[in-house]
Amino acid sequence: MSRGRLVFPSRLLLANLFVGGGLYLALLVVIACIALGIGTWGDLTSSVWEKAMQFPRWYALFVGVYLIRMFLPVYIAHGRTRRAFAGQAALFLLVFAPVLAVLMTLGYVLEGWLYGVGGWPHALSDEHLFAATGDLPLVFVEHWAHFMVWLAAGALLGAAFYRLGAGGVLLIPVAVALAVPLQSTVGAPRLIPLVSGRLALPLPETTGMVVLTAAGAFLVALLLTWAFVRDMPIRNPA
Amino acid sequence: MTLSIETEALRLDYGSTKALDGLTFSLGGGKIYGLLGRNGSGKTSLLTILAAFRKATAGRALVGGRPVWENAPVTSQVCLIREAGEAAGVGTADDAFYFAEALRPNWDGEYAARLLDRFEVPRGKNVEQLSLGKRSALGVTLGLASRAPVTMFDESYLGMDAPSRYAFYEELLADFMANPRTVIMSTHLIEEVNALFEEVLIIDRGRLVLQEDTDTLRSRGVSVTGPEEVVDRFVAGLTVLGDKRLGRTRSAMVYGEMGETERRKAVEAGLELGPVALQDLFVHLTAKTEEAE
Amino acid sequence: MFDDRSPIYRQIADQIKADVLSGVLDGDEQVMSTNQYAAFYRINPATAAKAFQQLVDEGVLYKKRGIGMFVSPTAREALRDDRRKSFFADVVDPMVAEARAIGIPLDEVVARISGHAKEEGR
Repeated sequence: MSRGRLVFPSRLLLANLFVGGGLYLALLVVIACIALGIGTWGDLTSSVWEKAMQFPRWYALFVGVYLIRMFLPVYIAHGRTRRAFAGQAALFLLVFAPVLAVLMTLGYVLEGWLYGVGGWPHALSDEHLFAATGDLPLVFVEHWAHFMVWLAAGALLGAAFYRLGAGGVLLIPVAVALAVPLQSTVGAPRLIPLVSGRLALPLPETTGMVVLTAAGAFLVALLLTWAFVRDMPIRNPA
Repeated sequence: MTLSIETEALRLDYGSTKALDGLTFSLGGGKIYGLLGRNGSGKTSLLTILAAFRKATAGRALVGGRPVWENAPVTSQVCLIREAGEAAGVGTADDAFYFAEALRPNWDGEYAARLLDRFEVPRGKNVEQLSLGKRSALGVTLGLASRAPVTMFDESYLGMDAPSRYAFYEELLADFMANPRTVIMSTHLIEEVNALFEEVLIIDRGRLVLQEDTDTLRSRGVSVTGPEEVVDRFVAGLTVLGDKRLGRTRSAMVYGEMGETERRKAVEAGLELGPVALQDLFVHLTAKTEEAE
Repeated sequence: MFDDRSPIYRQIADQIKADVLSGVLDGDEQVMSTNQYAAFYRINPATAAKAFQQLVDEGVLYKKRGIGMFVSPTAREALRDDRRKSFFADVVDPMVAEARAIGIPLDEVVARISGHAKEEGR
């Protein structure tokens, strides 16, 4: 019996990888088609995969939201405590963020190979921590940082909406604020919709700072999430 | 292993509404208990606190003598099923089983598969697309196959047709006899299921009205019918729950055990004594507290 | 099946006694186990057990350890004796009261019974 103990959340991970893996394959195909289309009939001068990052980030937010909305009630209903769930959920997020980052990095590798065959320049059009698409360690770090923040922000929003209903919108500014420091350090604050560059903080654009801001935002988001979850009532069926 | 259940001055407030208002009772465990109450009487509130779905505002809820709230060794022994058993969001019945298997210490997957077959619930279809009856049947399956020492069903029959409900009762009894545990069932189908209950709890407005051996309760109600004046004289001093009059005939529903001498006295006085159905007793016991407000 | 108007254990006991009286259950015949009974009638096993215990106490059934419950060989005779004892109070007296209430002379009642007696004698 594993009750009470913190066990590795393999089922949580497998369930999400199953869905996430499918979406990833679909995204690969779509991006490849777009790149081939532009390369064949137009002028392909930079990475399309770079632009595709919008979707995985929203997917990460969604995973965070659903972690609370869907899996918290399942855990409680099966006799687990909120504390045990929180541990499993945090562990899951810690593992899931690098997994997604690896997949995104792999996307650049595959795209680079495609661009090489087609003879197109595999260049970047936005500011990043990494200077080139081939700088794989930094590609990984930047994506890992984004996923850490967006997954945790999703969990916070999921908890807020589950607990407060429509009042959860009050936490949206908080979630955005959590993402601002990281955006400032990678030098691309406009990647958050509706928030302009004016919100950017004067942070040094270094790898250490990226890791620090991501880890900090992750921690703060999870602590706030725990504040909602620790005595969260499970909703009555509609 | 069977576990006892106790509450002590349990209170649950939703804003200014008192869902539970100082509820105190003690269940020995190892029995099938019926939890009866009108809509809004606090049945669901009580069960959700016992399952740690919700924190009580005040008072204590103990299972096996230990507090339930955020207490992993206790919560792992408790299973509450409401509708589809909170599995509706996960995907298919198979997905629900996938997590039950990992999270429930006593989960019996083979038994669950057998039950699902009996209830004819499709395993690969999204739970949200199932009919209410099939969702309830899945909930029942999750509850029975959890083999949790404390298993609670909160109106887990909604939308199930009569054959499915009877299948549920049969499976519940069979599994209860093979694997004794503490079962609490809340229901409005009193006539249909009362024979399953060894004990009955009636709650109303968040308070306990009575807790009684079901068979004892069945003998508690007596209808006394006859000429008005004779009935009036006979029931004076007894607890009268309800009254019906037709012309000069009065029929009073009396609550309480009636001894042989009293019965003989009634018959000699020309009164007719009759039994009262548990369902009628429930209706009058809970209607009365409403009048008292 | 059982109703919710009187204790179920008593309804079960009455039913088994009726079966013994009518000969459906013979002396030394095994009866269903508590659990079989509970499953068959969809009732709580504790309720069934209570009925069986009452029948054991009354001498209608007896237990064989590890095997089950059996009908006492003397049960039928004993139950018939009991019924005989209460026959006049339970059946004849109310009949007489009813006859009086609706104005049937007792002579006519007696004549009717005598008729049955003659038929039996033939």
